[in-house]
Amino acid sequence: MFHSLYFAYLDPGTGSLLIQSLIGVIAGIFVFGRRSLTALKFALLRIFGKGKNDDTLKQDASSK
Amino acid sequence: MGSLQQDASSYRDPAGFVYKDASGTVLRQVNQAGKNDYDLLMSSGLYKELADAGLLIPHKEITVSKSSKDAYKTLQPENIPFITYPYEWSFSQLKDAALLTLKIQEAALRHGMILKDASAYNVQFIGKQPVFIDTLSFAQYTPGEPWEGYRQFCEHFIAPLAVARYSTLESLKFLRSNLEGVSLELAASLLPKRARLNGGLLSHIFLHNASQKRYQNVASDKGVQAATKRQVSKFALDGLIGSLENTTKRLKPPHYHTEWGDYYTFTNYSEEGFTEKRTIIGKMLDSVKSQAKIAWDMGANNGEFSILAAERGLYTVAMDIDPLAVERDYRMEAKEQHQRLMLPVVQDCVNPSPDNGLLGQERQSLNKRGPADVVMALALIHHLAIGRNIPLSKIAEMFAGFGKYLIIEFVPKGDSKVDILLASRKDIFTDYNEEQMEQALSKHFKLLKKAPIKHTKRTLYLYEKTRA
Repeated sequence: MFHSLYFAYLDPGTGSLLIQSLIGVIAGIFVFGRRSLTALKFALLRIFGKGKNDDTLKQDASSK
Repeated sequence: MGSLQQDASSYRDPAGFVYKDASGTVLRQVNQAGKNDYDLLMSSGLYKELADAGLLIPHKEITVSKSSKDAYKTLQPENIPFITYPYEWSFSQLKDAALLTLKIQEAALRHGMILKDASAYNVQFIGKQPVFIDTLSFAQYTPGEPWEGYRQFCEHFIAPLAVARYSTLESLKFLRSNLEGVSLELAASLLPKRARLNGGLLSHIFLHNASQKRYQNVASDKGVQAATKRQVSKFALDGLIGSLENTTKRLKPPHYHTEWGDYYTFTNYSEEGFTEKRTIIGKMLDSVKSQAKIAWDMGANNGEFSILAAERGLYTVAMDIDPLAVERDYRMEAKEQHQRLMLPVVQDCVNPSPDNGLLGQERQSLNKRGPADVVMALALIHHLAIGRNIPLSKIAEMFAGFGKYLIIEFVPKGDSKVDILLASRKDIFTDYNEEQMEQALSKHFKLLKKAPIKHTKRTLYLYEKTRA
């Protein structure tokens, strides 16, 4: 998958690679938490909200 | 490589290298190994976006008669008037270089590319504007891959900034000896316990260091296997970059709120004396500016007088030993047209940056980056002669090594600044006077002008170097 890794000219450090995902996901929730919730809300609205009026849309979003 | 004079700092990346052609022009060769990534940089619109925004050094592709056989293309990047290194930057310069690197990383990810490294040496300053210079740092991004430059980013930027934040600006001088940055291990051991309360530092320094330690002695097979199986989702990667950005932004220079208000005040001489000094320096600069492009202001403090050279179109490197003065200079709002002409750096002219790195050639000494066309040494000589016991003959020799024209201010005994220096010590400086300084300088320079500054006890001189 990551053959680029084997040709990398910089030694990234094994521990450094391993911790990235963990820190990244936690940080992502903090950094983009709001934004991802908003994105989720709109995604849900698009799927379930068709044909309903605006007020019900808002209620839907808050109940989900 | 054939006979190309490869730059001594450009040996790490197989994708290409920097060299100087016969006329001294800096060129960058893209090797066949770097072809795909370079083409993607250009075709994806990433280059245009970054270059147009002034974030990446612009270049043009040129044809050269001589290139090595694995050459794909030759690039001529825009010229950087004066190269500086991270160990010569103030806190905010290093911080801005870090933020620039992250901004570029975000743009790269939007275009399906990623920075393969995060070296602070990939950033240069044109005046006070940081610019990314490594056109070959960009690689195609494969979803799920980790950021190979993560540790380097932490060691080149986060660690030194964090250590400075919790100690003093002086600690940034570590970077002169530690060319790979401040290691996570060193940073974790130097930072106080309360630094762990900062979530960014807890993650990027302390946990990162622990993970690095945990896996450093694991049999490479096991470690690499584990690492390569671990996917870093785009969400996690964006989170990582975002967190690095927030962590960097929150790092402020030490004592940020206490020392800043009243740091620099001219209490030494009257308003008239100050104006007179500016006028004389201006006239001296006017008389040499047609033959000058680069000025070095030694002991520039916050650039108060360096601006006079920049106003006359000279690219002015304002050097000072005091990192706080350089910090202030860097952050001072300059008129837009001077913003790209004034470059503040930390430099002690008595202990200037040496030749450094691989073969002692990788990072150039201050002197090798000269000579300057104009050297300014205003209210500096007493610090050297009295403050640091340097004989006038050595001072003259030092200035002769820096540049062609010299604008120097003599500050005699009896001036309050000199009296302060002498207050706590025995006056052993019997030959510290105008005549002795003129005599010392005459061994290397020809006197063009001498002008006493009215309303003060000081004198300004304009010298031109005689043949070396």
